[in-house]
Amino acid sequence: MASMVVVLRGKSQQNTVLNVSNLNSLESANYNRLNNTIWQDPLTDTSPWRVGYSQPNMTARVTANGAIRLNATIASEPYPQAVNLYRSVNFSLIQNPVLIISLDASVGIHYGIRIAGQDSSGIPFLAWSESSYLQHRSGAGKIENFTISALVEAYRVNGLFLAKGSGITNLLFYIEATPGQTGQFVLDVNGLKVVAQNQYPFSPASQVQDTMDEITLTLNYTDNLGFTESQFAQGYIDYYVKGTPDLDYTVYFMHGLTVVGQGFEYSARSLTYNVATFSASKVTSYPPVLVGNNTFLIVLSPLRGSFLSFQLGGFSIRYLSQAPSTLAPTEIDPSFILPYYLIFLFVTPVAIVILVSRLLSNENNQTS
Amino acid sequence: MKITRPASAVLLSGLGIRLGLAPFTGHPGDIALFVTSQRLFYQDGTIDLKYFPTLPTVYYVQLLFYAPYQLLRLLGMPDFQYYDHTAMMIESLFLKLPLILCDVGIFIVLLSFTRKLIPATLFFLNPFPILLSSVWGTYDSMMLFPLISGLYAFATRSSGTASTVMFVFSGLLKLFGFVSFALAICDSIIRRRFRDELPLEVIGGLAIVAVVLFPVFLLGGFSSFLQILVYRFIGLGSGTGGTHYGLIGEVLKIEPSGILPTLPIAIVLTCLGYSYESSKAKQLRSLLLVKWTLVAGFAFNLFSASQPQWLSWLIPLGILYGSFTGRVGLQYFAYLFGTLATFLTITLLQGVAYMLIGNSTAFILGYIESIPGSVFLYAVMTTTMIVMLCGYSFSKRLKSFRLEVIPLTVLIYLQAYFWIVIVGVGRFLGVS
Repeated sequence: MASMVVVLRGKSQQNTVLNVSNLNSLESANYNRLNNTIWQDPLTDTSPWRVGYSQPNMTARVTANGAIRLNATIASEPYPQAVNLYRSVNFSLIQNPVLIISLDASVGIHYGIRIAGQDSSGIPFLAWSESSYLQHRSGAGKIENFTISALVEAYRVNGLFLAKGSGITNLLFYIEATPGQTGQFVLDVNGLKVVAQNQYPFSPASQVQDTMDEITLTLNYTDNLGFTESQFAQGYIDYYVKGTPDLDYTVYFMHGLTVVGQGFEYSARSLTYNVATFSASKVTSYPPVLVGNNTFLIVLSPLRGSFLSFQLGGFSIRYLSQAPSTLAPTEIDPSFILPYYLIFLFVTPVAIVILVSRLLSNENNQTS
Repeated sequence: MKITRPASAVLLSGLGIRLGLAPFTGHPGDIALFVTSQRLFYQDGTIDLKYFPTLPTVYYVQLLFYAPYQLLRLLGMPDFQYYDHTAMMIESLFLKLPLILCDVGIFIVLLSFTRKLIPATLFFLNPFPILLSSVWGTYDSMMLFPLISGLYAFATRSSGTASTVMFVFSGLLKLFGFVSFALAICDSIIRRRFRDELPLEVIGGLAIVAVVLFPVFLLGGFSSFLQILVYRFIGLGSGTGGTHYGLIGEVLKIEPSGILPTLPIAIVLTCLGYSYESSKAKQLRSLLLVKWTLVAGFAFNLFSASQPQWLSWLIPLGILYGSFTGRVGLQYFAYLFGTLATFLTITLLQGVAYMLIGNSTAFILGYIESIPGSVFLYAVMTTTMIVMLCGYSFSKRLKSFRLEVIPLTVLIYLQAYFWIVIVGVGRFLGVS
């Protein structure tokens, strides 16, 4: 058998598996920095800001002193109450704008961030949903930082990337109280700016050191076998990485704007060697900073913090003729296969064990 | 040893069951990993040791058993796709063949070891080993075969070297095997075999490990090997996510990226416990080795993220220990334990359809799978069963088996189902 292994190696026609791992298939490597400020609110003037209430008898005060402070007094009521703090903005989605927000909400209250806009025809759209991680958050009583891609948030809600001419027109913060909750609660917006990303190329085989908000590896390979995204089975990437003390990141495998695979969450407080795996079944999110056109990309994207150094070891993208399926199957009739399975797995073995135990009962008696 | 007619009948029926299930079933995720590596080797010549997701010995064994399939394919044998499975039907059978043959090996070793058919039958026709080797396609039986063989060699040979070699091979298939290796080393130290056995065992063990790992090192996969297996094993992995299947991790919400930090402590305590008892007790050393390997099995299952397949280690070890100590109850409870573990695994963790048609989105038995709190229910039930198995292993009162235990375990399941699935106590504890 061992000689068969040697003789048959690589002899079969390649038609049921594809592996993209050659570093020659790496077209480019870039890292992105969110250091190109498009717009910034100095937070020294309350006039662009408006306050709205869910109930007419509520009161709140807004002050500005390098931070916008919403100070709301909530009286106990048998229903939920909310105070909104909002302003109009105007930036185009074509710039792929990323909002960098820093805020601090009192402990005990809930808060959220909502973004809305208008498409090229002037029709309004929402870029937030109830299930988003940006909604109904518990106040932490300390500063929290958010990096929010307006394009991605709009995509999550509307299921499509909005065309040219669309823009973000409204930004809203809210605090909300549950029925019976009472007291004075504060929401401080300490930083608010919109940035676009700057992209910097680097050589992946050598170590790059800089503050990096995202790392993208663009792949260019020819697939003569015609594998599709649904046949992506598993991917691996190994690398040396170091990040800020709060760095938590994940890995995405993307084709154009579609996330084909995703990995676990990793951290890298000190220089660490890591092998990340990614697969279709783990896809739960979208990279906060959008990249790419119609290419294949491996994206290392922080959930918190930034990368400080990176060096690629290797990667492997694997396709199978039948990859693990994440789609609902066609209608199946279990009337035959299920009894077959259960009879072989449970009924027959248990029946034989009972039979053998009865036949050889004296064997046990001898023991005991 | 001669295999009697009843033993042949059990062997053939167990083989028939396994061969009847293997082509139609499989764990799509795990099988995809293995089949990709094999196809890459035989189709484009890639030696996939850099990213192979487990120990390289598993890869070598799979290469050997996949070769005849590849030859048959080259000779024109057709193969068929069955529903959404990631391997084709005959291909799946060949991938599972080493696992099935290891089950056969364990059956024969248990038969030789205990000289009784019932203990060997209680393992070979246990639904859980059948599920793992012929349905799931995971390789725990490949680790258990050399482990049980090593215990047999330890009991029947004057020198411990042969058993040590088997323990090392076992550890190279799944790291749990190294626990018995460590116990064997402790044994040589206690017996003060500093000049002959001990150096041979240590140097021989290290040499085997070096030879097995050398190709990994050569192909640039040694860092990956350390990261994926060794660092994760000692709790230094940087990845998070995944699922805890053990109750302690589930309730304490400890990251399941590797094992809990309690496990290295448990391993050290196991070695100390074995050394202490071995130096004091009058019991057979081989019996103590079985006992403390079983204790380590309990520790691994209770104090780690504990993959569901790890429960299978307790079955042959429990049966063997039960047979040595006359604990009939332990042997039969190990069978019940395996049957329930099978039921819990296929209904609560994956869904019946996952391994049957290869798709997790189709549920056939709606009331007992795809239910809220399923992982928590699984963790509670398996922990309860492990504690009961501990009782059968070590309590003086639980030497025989009573049939009432079967409805008792069903009642425990129904109670746990009521409190966890219907009332939802998991939500109050903040677990899934």
